[in-house]
Amino acid sequence: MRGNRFSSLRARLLLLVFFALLPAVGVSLYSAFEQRRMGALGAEQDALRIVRLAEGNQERLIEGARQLLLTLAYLPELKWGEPDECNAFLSKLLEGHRVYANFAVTDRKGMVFASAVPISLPVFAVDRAWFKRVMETKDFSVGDFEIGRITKVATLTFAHPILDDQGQVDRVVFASLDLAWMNQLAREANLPPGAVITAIDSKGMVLARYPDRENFTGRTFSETPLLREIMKRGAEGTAKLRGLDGVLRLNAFTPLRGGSKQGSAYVNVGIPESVAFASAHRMLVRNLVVLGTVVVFSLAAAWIIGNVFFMARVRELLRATKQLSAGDLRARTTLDYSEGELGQLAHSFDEMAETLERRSEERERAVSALRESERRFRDLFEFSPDAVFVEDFSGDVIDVNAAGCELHGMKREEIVGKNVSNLVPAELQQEVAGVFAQWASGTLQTLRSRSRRADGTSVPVEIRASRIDYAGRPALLFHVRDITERKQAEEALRRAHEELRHAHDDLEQRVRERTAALAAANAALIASQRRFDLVMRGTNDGIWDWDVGTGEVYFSPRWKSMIGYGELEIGGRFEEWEKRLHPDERERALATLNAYMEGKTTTYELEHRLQCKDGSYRWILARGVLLRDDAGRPFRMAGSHLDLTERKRAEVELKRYADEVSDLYNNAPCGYHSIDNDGVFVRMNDTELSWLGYTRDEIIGKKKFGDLLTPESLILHREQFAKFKEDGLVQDLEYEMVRKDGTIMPVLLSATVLKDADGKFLMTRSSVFDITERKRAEERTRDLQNFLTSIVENIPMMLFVKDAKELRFVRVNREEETLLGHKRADVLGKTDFDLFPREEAEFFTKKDREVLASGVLLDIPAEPVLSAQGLRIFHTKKIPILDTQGRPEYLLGISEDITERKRAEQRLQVQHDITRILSEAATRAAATPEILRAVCEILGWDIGIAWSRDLRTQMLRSREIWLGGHGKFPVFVPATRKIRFADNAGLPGRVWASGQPEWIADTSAHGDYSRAAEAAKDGLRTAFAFPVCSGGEVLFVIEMLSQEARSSDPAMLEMFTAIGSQIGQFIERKTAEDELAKASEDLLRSNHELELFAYVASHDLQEPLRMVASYTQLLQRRYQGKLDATADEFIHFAVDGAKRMQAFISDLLQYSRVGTRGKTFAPVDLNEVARRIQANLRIAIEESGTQLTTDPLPTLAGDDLQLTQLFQNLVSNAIKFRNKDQPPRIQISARQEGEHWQFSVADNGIGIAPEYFEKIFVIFQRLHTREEFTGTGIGLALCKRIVERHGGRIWVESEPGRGTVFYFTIPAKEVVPDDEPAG
Amino acid sequence: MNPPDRILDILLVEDNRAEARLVQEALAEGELPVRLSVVRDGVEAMRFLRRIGIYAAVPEPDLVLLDLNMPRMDGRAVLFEMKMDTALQSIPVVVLSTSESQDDILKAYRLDANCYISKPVDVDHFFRIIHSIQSFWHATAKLPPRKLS
Repeated sequence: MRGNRFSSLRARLLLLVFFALLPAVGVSLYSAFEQRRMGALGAEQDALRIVRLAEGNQERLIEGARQLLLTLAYLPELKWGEPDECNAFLSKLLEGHRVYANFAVTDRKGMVFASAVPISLPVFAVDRAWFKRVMETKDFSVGDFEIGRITKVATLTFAHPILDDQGQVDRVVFASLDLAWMNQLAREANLPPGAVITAIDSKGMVLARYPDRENFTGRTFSETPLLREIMKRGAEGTAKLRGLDGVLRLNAFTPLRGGSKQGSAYVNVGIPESVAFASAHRMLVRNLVVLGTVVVFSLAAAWIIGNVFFMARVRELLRATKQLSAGDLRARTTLDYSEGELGQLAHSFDEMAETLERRSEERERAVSALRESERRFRDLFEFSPDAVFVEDFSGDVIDVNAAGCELHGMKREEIVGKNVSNLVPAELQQEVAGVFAQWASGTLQTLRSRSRRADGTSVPVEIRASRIDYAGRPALLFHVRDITERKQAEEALRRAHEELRHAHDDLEQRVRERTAALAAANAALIASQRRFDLVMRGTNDGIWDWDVGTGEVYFSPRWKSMIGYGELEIGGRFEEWEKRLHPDERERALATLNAYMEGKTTTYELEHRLQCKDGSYRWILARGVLLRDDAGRPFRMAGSHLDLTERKRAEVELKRYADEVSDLYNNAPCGYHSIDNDGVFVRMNDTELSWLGYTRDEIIGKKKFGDLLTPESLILHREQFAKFKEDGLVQDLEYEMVRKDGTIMPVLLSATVLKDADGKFLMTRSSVFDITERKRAEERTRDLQNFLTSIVENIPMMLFVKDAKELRFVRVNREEETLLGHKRADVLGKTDFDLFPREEAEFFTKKDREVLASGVLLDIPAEPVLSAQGLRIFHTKKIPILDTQGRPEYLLGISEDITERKRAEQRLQVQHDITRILSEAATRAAATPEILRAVCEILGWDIGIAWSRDLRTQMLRSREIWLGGHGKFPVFVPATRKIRFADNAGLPGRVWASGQPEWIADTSAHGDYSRAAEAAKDGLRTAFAFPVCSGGEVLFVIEMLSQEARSSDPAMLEMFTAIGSQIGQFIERKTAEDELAKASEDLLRSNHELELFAYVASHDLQEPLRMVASYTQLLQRRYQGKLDATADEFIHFAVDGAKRMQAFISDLLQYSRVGTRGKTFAPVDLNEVARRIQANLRIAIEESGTQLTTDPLPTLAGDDLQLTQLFQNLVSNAIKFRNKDQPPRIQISARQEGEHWQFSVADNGIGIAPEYFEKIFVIFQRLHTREEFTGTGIGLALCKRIVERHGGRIWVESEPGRGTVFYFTIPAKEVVPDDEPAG
Repeated sequence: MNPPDRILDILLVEDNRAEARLVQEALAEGELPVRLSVVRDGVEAMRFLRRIGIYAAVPEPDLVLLDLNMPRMDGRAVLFEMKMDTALQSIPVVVLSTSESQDDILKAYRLDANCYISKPVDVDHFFRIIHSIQSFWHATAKLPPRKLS
């Protein structure tokens, strides 16, 4: 706030306000001056307006005066009246015309003899200008401005002659115009105060003045500046001049029209300048006053506002800033933030201060946190139970904690600064350096080692290292843990384990010993058991003793108990045994006994059943010995009973088991056999026998295994058999066995050797599996494999399979080799990147990955692939092949080369478009640009040009140029428009001449492309032209250019040749079609016109002809026989001719009516038609004795009248042309033939020679003279027309003398008559 | 039967003079008395029937023989006007035309023609027909009573 006054903000504010107001002062002054200028201009305009008004008034007055005087001149009073009479009249007149000072009449000498204003003395006017003029012109005249001699006022005099009968001036009537009218004018003009209006003459005499007329009128003020100015100008003008009264005025003046000369008087209006500028001055003063006030107020307001709203805040800001700079971070402004920039400044300041304060606090917090962290680390370090060392990379110890010192039994000073090698036992000293390098490189992180203690002992330790930053240096932090105790624990554990194992082994040993003892005991036990069993067996037999003589029998208790009886329940008689025999065995038992007793058998042994007490039977083996007396007679027989029931049961069981085994053996689903040492079959099961088709007898002991083998298998068998006998085992040998019927059975054989107790070979035990099915299945699989392979190989699509992981080809087919030109061996195991350009390979791989990721088929409808045959378009499908877990395993790709199809499609589209274009276009010229567009757009060319020969110059020139959407080609196109080619010159000329397409792959390199430079400028690379031919002639040449470099290939050239000739054909066909359509249309029209003509002609001819016929007939009627014979004959010819002509005309009319007056088709029952014609022709039929028969006829769509006529004509023809010698027989028939009904009308009449078959249907063609048969020859022509209108045809079959058949057809279904529009 | 001495007043409307003459000749050959008036077209016919102008004094015809195709106003229009006019609708009209068109015939009858006769080509035949008209309307048919004129 100190220093330069103007540098203070307030002073600057005031200055700003002051300068802001300065333009306002300027504007005020300028507008005041402008106002002043406008005031002057307005005053000038006012003055001019008034003088013009004065001039206008003057003219009006002159005209008024002329009218008035003209009237007066003819008034008899003035013409002939006496002076008194005139005076009275004139004074009366003056009363009505106050604008005039006087009316008066002079005689021809110029003496006033009558005046409205009384005159006492004779007044002469002969010298007045107006009088002279009147006498001269004999017409109305105007005098000069002058002071009247009668009126004594400034007047302008008008005069008119009064003529006598001879046309001479007799008297002159005049009127003096009082210039006082100017006062009137001044009043009307609403002059500003101080304005003066003056009329003066050229000499400066004041003629009139307003105001203050009296003082000025008549006085002359020559040589005034005003007069000089007026005289100088001579016409209307303005001037700012000081008047005689010294007032500066704005003057406007104009000459008044007087009598003799222009400018004899002038009217001037002067407006004082002070008046003109008054309002401007007033405004200037007012503006300045207002401005001054505004300036004062503005400055005062600026002062106050500056103080209140500005300075206070700035001071506050300053205060806060100072506080802040003094280091008080809590300094804040106390300002309101909401208002304007200062508010924002304050806000920003406060935010800044706050941020600073927060930063400072944060920093303090961070510092204290860091300190805390360091302290904690130190504590951690220091009080860690592990020894912790910090070492640099050379192994020098930087720091160590208390535990570290303790570990080594050293003081900190002894450790820090020393190398780590001090700390390891002597035996490890060598390794320290190597190990430390590993620590340093980070390859080693943990290690078990030993640490040396100060007393020379060492302890086992586990060392763990990590790299740290220590005081800004990289260092290693080692945790070293004393693992002495752990080591001891481990040792204890190991020892415990060892002991346990010993104990275990001991136990095992003891178990083995115990087991052996047990086994021995067991064996002893078994032996004892056996012995015991034998004893038991002995005691188990029942004993019997039979006294044969007495029949007494002793049965031991066991014998009885064996069958469930007690000791006392069975007596001692033979019958006791006999009665208990099983009824089925009784006889056998007794027979066996008898046989022995009779000596027939040497022993007695009987297995039989005895009934037990409970009724059941038990099997008993009875054995006995017979004792004979000396005579040989038996007297005693004793024996034992052994209970066989259990054994029997076991036997049954055994048998059942043996049966089952045998059944299993024989009926097993595999073959079993055994062969002996020589290979001879010892046994063979049923299954194998049935396979081989042999019986057991044919095999066992007779055939060797080798006999049943094919030669190949025999060799194998021989090789194998010896070894097998040694090894004792073969498995899954494949042999081919020969069946009995010679067929071959593949088998899989496994065998083991059976040896006897001495280890000698007994036989084999072989199992044989029929693997025919398996073989067949294998074969089928192989076939299927081959089949699939051949499909894959021969399918005309490219197949490839890639593994899902690396996308290497694992399978490709032949088509792939052909298409891509790779050998299969070069492809397999490769990826796309090995085979295709990088870009393509990336594209393929991207797609492959997509497919594998999505797991669904991907269809790529068209992808360009650079193949062995150039760029081809493939339609590719990529299919992920999943493994059983659903993970992609392979990628199958199927690509079809659709280049040809694409091309065909393009060609088809071109054809289609061209066909459409040609069919829609009115002319070929109109079609050409469309054809160009279609060909270029579809085939993707940038420019298309149609060349054709100019008929006049015989040079080729471009007719049409089509430009693709994206290019303008500013150089090439004008050049093309300009250029002309002779035949065989340039690309179009060559193509024109050769009729062959030509391809220029690179125009700049070709050398014979005349627009190569222009093409290059527009970036056009490839040019191609092909001819559009028709009938071997080139119609035009289409040239196409592309910015893309395109190489030709034969297929493409062929395609364009085809397209060219197709366009030509289309054009040709189109032209032909158009012509044909036109011809057909012409023909139709001409036909129709002819029909109409025939109709009109025949119709209109009828009328006059009727008259001719009628009157010749009338002649005949009236005058026949009344004139001479010649007249009669003449009349006859005339009548006959007229009648015939009538007949012709009538027929012609009828004929033409078929087409022009036919009815629309409706169903017609032809049976009804037949009945109608029968009625119509009744007389003819009866007279001729005709026999008319009609078959049932159909109902058809048609014109019933015409169909009636058709049948009637044919029938009446048949009657007419009948044989004279037999009555006519006529047959109408109908039958359906496909979509037509075929009708026939057959007769037995005179017939028609074949050469006339066609002719008879032509109108007015007759085969007979009128003398033979009447008629005009219309009938059949009419029939033909009717049939044809119905959409059928008519023909005749006939043999002269035998009869005629007329056939005609009519469609079975409805047709629209061909003349419908005309009908 | 009309009185035998009654002369049949016939108005022939026919533009072709030769045709008219032929009718006249045919009627002249007939045995019954006939008074024939001939007008050349439909306009004249209507003036005649309504006795306008020069026809003020003509008798009302007993029968009108009407051609169809005529200039100015054709036979069909005449027929229509006559049949719409209560004063004229009772006069029998025989259409006499060369046309054999079914349309023409049907249309004439629809317009209440009393009879349609197609003029035959042969003069003898034509004469016979005229005679039969003559005798039919004269001797066979009952004509409406004559109005007082």
